[in-house]
Amino acid sequence: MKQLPSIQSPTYTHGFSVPLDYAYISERGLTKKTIETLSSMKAEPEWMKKFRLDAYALYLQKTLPSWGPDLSSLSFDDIRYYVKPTDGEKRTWDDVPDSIKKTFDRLGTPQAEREYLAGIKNQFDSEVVQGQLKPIWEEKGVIFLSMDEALKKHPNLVRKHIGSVIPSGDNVFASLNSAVWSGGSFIYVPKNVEVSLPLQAYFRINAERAGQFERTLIIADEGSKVTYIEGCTSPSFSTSSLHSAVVEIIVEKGAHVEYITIQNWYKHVYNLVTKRALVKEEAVMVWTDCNLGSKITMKYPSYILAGKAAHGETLSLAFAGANQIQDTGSKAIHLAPYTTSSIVSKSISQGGGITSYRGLISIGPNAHHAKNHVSCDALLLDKNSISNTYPTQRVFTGDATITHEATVSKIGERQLFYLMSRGLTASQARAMIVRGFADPLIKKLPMEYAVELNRFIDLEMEGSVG
Amino acid sequence: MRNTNISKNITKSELIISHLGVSAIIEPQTSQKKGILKDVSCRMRSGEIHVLMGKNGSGKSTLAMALSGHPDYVIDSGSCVLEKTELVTLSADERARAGLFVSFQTPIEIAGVSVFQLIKTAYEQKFGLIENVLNFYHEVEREATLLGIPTASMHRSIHEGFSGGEKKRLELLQMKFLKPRFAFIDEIDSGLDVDAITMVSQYLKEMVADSQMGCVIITHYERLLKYLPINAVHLMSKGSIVTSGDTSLADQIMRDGFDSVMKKLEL
Repeated sequence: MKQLPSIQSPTYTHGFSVPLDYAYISERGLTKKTIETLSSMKAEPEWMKKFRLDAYALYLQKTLPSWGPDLSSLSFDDIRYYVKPTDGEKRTWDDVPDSIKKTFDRLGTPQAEREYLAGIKNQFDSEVVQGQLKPIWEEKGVIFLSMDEALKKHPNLVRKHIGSVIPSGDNVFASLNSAVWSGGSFIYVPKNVEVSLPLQAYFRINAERAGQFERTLIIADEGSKVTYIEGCTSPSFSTSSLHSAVVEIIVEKGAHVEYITIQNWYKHVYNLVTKRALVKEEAVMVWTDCNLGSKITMKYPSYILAGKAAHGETLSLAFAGANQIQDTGSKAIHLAPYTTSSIVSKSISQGGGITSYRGLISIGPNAHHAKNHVSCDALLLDKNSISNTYPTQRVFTGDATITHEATVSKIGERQLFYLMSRGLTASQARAMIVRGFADPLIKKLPMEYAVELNRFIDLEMEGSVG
Repeated sequence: MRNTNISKNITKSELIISHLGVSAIIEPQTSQKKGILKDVSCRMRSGEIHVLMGKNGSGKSTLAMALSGHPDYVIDSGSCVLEKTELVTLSADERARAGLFVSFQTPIEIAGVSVFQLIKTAYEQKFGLIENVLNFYHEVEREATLLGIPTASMHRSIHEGFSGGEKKRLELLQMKFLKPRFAFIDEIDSGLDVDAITMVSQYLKEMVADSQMGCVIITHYERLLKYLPINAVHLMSKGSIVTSGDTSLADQIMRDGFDSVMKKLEL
């Protein structure tokens, strides 16, 4: 497919942008001053300002990763690090400015599935513009706030946990996020509370060259259960945007957290995200991760299985079309006995797109009887597309079981013909095969997202044939 | 037949195959190919059941596959006209939508695509959007039961992990809903026991009577034939139809064998 900058892609339905009077737009590039201004505009406590400036100092010392996709065309000096669309988060939809409302309306959120969700947050560029949690969960002590709000209302909780799973010095993008973070979700689920409906956040980049650096912290207390869904889209600008989030999750004893991502940024967004969960005794962490959009994604959702019999699970789907690189995978760090993990990674490449699975399995000396299974399936839709696998295994105990299987298949001419012999057009047949390949993951998604993913595959396949 | 959707007033039409020549592609890179079928001619009217017999490798399945548009074969010469529509120049999906159905001898597995999903999509592609999906689902379930397919199979991936006999029945189930004007049914009897053959042939008989579909049955054996009203029998050898006749030809082949029959015909 030919790339025409600044013209909306026929296959990308979220590529519009609305004109807006922003409350504040920072100059391009990042300085100490930018951070100080940001922190004071947010009226943050002194310790948070220090947290940011310390992270900035680390950021300046760090270099881009020496491995993985080439990021040299990402110009950090061209990014606007803080873009504030409106004053304050609105509780009801009616209070949201019309232009922003229109954007979310066109995206089909948050009206869609309102009944189905326990709570929702909508982030527009740097700030959460609207959010709501159903009273029934509020009464049970569940906290669902933007990180900025949480910092005001529960400063001690935030201070105790922020950076505890992903320290500011973890990697260059974690340092950058820690320095300039804005928005993101804060969730606390009290002991033994099961939030039976998912909490949802929708992230939208609207302004050109805007960076989005949301910071999410989820604390699931002992025996609790919660599912969090995030969706991401952006306009089809020809200039690059940067999305660099940090997501930290603490899964206390016996708790269960599922984190679902449908990432569909436009093809000029760099998506460089660090996600990690600390999983305690008999607790479960599940990452369900769909990466469909962006120019380059580097994301390896991880879990540190720190308590006995903790379990981690990753189910991921990556789709790379022309000029896209999806460098994704998962890391399972087994530190305790009887810990188990399972990673299922599916990838689809077409039109010269590159998908890579990059994974780490580390079994520490105390993690006897640990078990891990990795399965990577790649589907190549044409000769020009590429799939790579980079598994790393570090095992420091004698009695762990780890297995790895990988398959690469080309879309079968016979399968295509079989479906066409039943009257399906070539593009319908391709879409059906691709959807079938993605089915184990689609099945796990809530209805609305499954429909969106199916529509995405149909559009991509239409673009690929004839 | 309980399905009342099918119109009883279908006009008689014809499938006319004339002087068909087909090659198999041996090496796709160099387009190297080998002639398989030569000068195959045959015509049938809607509502008729024909039987195509012949030794292994005589070209029966090649004929069916080539007509359906299989990428391993090229039609070099001749024509195949289904009610005024020339099929040879059409793509596989266009041929299917024109009213041709070919049930595969070895159907293809597709992971994650359920039996019901395939039937629904193929049906909608041909007949338009289904308004009441639940009703349609019940209809598919009912037909599956008539064919002896467990209804739980509707949610399984198409042909994945099914036995040979089950795959054949799943092909017939699809055919039922695609309502073709003409069908080639390749070795539907292999992998079926006697009871299943009775069931399947009864189903086929009713479908032909009901929809006035024309049908070519490819088989080595007569088992299926005693349950079905046969209008014509064709014998294939070395890529051509060498003789045609009524059921007595099939009886003769079964009694004396292919070689003896051909010797008598001085072929």
